[in-house]
Amino acid sequence: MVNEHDIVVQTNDLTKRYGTTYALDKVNITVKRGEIYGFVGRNGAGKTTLIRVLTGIANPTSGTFVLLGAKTRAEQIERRKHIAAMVETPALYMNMTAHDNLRTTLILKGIKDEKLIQDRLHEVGLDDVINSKKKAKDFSLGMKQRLGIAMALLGDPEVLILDEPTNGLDPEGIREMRELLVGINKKRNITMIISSHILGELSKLATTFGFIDKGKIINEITSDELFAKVSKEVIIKTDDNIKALSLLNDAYPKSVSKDDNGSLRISGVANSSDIVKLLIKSNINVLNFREQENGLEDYFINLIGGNHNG
Amino acid sequence: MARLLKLQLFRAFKDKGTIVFAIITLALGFFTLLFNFLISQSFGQGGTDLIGQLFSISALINSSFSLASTPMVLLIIVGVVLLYKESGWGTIRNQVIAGYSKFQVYFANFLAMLIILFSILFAYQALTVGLGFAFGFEFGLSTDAEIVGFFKNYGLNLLIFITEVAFMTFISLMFQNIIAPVFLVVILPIFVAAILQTVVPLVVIMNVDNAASIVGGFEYVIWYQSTALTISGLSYEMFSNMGDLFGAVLYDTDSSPFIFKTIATNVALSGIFLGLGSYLFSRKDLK
Repeated sequence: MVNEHDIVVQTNDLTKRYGTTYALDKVNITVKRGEIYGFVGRNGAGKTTLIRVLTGIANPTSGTFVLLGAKTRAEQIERRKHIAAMVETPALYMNMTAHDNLRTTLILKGIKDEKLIQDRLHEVGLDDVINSKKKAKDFSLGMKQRLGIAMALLGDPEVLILDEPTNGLDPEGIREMRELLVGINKKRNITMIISSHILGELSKLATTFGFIDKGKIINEITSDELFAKVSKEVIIKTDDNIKALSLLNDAYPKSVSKDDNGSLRISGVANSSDIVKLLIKSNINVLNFREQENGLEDYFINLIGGNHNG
Repeated sequence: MARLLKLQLFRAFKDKGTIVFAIITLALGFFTLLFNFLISQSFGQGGTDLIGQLFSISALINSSFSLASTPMVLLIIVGVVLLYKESGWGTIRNQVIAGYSKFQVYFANFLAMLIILFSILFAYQALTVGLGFAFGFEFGLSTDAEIVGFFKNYGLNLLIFITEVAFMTFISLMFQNIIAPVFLVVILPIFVAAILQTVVPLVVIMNVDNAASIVGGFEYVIWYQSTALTISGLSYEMFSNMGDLFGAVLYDTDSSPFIFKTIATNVALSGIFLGLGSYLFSRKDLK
């Protein structure tokens, strides 16, 4: 039983509609304290919309959510003082230096200690611009992302919400950003909600995953469950698939599915020979047997039902 | 709210465009006085004719509120651009994420624009007073009635100025783009002011029947500014001078109904732009 205090975000049938299009369709997710919640979906799936609603930038059409225990709108506005977010692109004053951009956050949060500016810039690896006159508009995208995170970290938020923080970065930039976020999580033990359309990237960070497609949450699992599913898959054909399916469902709950070819797929199996032994013991003949390593992206694509993009 | 206001003032102070426009506004004040000085030297400064009255410091101060005056146009552009940058860069989102209501964000933007723009305008007016005396212009207020009239007019102009800033905030924050505010807050009012500046004298000169109602009609059609007097770009004093010159008085600007109407209209419009604006903004999804 999860203590209410341990829940950072909980949505209840949260819906956002634009005209006749549902950007969010009765979304229910739970983010617990200390988690790194990876929010995965294709472009346009509804990730940013959910983050916009949680951060107050957009209003939900229907449904409710609890943010750090706050249920009413007024309470949520107050609680947002304890969260920080970078939604879509980093929101920077492009005509200001990194130092002055951080000063705007100090002003907003009523923090007097200007030394924090230097500390945060150092923390995100922007030491070069601490005393620089370079304006934010002249920063690379990676630097802008880092500056956005530095601004978000001022005021020691309990929750950090990042929308596609690696979007547009080159592989080196992606790696650096990942290391930065892992470092922040380790150092500060902060709850993070990070969205991305690249599951492989998030898998190196997140402890829990929420998969969204066409505005609907299609799966919410822990990283252990995810890796169990994607680590190994056994594909098997027997002379009695109905009996085999029933048997395997009992032995491996929620791990067995039947594909279009009539094969049974069992995911997250540590020892595949156990399956064969079980079937033979029940007088079921194995006609075909093979093991397959599934990648995270394959899992994701299978989950959302195809290889289409859009 | 105080922090939001402080943030707005900080970013305006850091904005090169705002600083440059403020300097241009003040430079224009200097050149306007220099130009007037050179003309008054030709016509004889300080006379009792129209030119002498137009070049009085008090007339220049009150005419600076008019949308037909260059300082005011520059100020409106400064305000529109400053407000747009918040939406364009997405920095307005930071304020909501940081735990401020959209209602507070709306009012902070309005108050900040009011403070910033009026500060520049006030500096322009102070420069006008200082340089005006240096150039030897008269203040133009000799009797108690004229002094009272000056402050009364200044107060009314200030009220109209507040309405304009409220309107500018409303349009800028509701549309969150640059095109709508530039068209609705800058180009259209200037266009209307230019037309009225032509129409008002023509109506008077041609001695059209019901001149007052014709000009007055503009007052209600064009609601950006509450009075045809102001939207035509004519300050109280300039308008009175024209009335005297052409032998017609369309408005008795000293009358209580006129003053009451100006106050009531502007208070109502400001209330709509601030009340309705903040309500709609709080229900709006930010870009």
